[in-house]
Amino acid sequence: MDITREEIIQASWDVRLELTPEEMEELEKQVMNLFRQADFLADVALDDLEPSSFPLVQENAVRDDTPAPSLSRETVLSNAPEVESVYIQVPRIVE
Amino acid sequence: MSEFETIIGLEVHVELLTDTKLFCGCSTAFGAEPNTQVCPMCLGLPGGTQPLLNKKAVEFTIKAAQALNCEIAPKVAFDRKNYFYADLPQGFQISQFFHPLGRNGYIEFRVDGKIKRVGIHQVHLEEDTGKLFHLGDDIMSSPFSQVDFNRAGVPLMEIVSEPDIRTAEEARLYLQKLRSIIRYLDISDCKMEEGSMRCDANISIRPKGSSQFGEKTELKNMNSFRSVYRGIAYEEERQRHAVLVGESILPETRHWDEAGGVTHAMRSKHVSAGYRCFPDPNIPPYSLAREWILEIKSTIPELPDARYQRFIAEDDLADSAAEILSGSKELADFYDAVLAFHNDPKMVSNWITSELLGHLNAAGQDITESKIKPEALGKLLQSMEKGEISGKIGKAVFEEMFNTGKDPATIIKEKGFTQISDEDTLHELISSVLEANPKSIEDYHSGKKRAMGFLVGQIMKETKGQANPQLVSELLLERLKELK
Repeated sequence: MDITREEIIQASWDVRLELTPEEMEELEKQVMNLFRQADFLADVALDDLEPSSFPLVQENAVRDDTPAPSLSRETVLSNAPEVESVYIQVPRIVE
Repeated sequence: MSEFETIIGLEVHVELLTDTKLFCGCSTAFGAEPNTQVCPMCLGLPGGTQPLLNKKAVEFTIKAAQALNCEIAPKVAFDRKNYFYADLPQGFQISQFFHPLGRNGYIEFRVDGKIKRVGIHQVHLEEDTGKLFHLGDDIMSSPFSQVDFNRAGVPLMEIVSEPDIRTAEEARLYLQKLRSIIRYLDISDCKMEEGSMRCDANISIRPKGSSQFGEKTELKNMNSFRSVYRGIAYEEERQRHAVLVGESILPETRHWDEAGGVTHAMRSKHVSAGYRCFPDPNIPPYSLAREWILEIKSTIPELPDARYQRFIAEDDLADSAAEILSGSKELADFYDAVLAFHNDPKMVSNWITSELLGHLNAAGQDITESKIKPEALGKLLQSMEKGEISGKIGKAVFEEMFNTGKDPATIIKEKGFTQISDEDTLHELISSVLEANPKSIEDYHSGKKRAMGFLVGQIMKETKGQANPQLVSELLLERLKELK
């Protein structure tokens, strides 16, 4: 498995990281190195196995539909970069 | 000119009627003060809180998926759909990308008297986003937006259709049927105007007979059944025109502008294509017991199609009446309840579909707001059937019942509406009317049978419609024979 420069560019955009061409080159090397180390997995026969995203926990819990207290509005708004009245204000959305 | 066909698939989101959010205990009550029903979990604040699944939301989704004829997944699993948007505090939406709760179902509805089946690709459960308010006229011109996170994390059920829909009218009918089923299940109120039911449409066109799909656009912001119809009709025409003049259709999200009656390009699909979905590491899967799925199935009530069939087969109602009455659970329940008091299906259905619905529509109300209760309507119809009041008086009593919610017997008594069936009183009335209209007697005897109708009309007029019309006719006929 290999990674292409396009995929690095896409991935850095996805997580909003601005990378210089040098940094991209460095990253490419590091990611390829990681892939090489995991290459042996390709030889393991997995065809009969179900993908196990949760190898440790077998079963989840659920809860009843009973309301619990929420935060106060002051607390909620205190963490926002910009507040207008009772709302959190954000910049224009359409490009 | 080449002929095209339109390919439409609908993605419908409905907010489930749970008391709390999907993964935390914050209230879902509609209309609360902005940003008061939020906690670290649904705000996506780092640290501490772990998502804990609301069992009721799972139950509701399984119920809907079964009512929509889907296969049910053996387990509930959630994935993260990653994207940046101001109404999504976590930076990802918890959804079911890999294992939707329901798959491969269908909905059937009638189009021009024929049954149309539209496949249901999947039914899944996810979190709703926060609500954005755009300053100024709309999202396109707004310099800022404001966010209320009360809605963030509310359980949202998404129903994705197969691209089996071909016209704007079919899209409207599909949506209506879907809403009807979900309301029968009592798991969402499906109010498009309030946003508890939302519909996005994927639309493309292709030359008729082609088996390949054309490039599609996704249409958003249709907030009523009417705008779904108008938006789709506009978009298919826009695409047809573009293709005919040699322009290409771009894969983009378009915004329906209700006031302008047009669609605008909002954003290109290319950039937002990669949601990088992966299983949510904080939410291990939850296995579904077969018994629980069956138990949920057993709580599904008689659905609109079954009710429609029953109204036709057992009550001998006309197609149109059965369609109207079965379309809403409340209306169908109302009809059934009236029958318990007056077992004449045709009469009951006529009074509900013409009088009651006519009055409710004019007042902008629905059946749940009706002041007339089933028992009262049943009693009114009984009074007419028994001849205690005439049909005409019946309508006047109905009017009063609709406005005041009073019992028909009370109104009849208060207004002195009781039908006059006393023969002595009627004889007196007949005498005075005959005395005043000697010409009509002559006319009648010279063969003009219409004179009879005129005389009955005069007596009804004298009594303000309260005379028993059948008895009046009989007595009048006797008197006219005597006079010959």
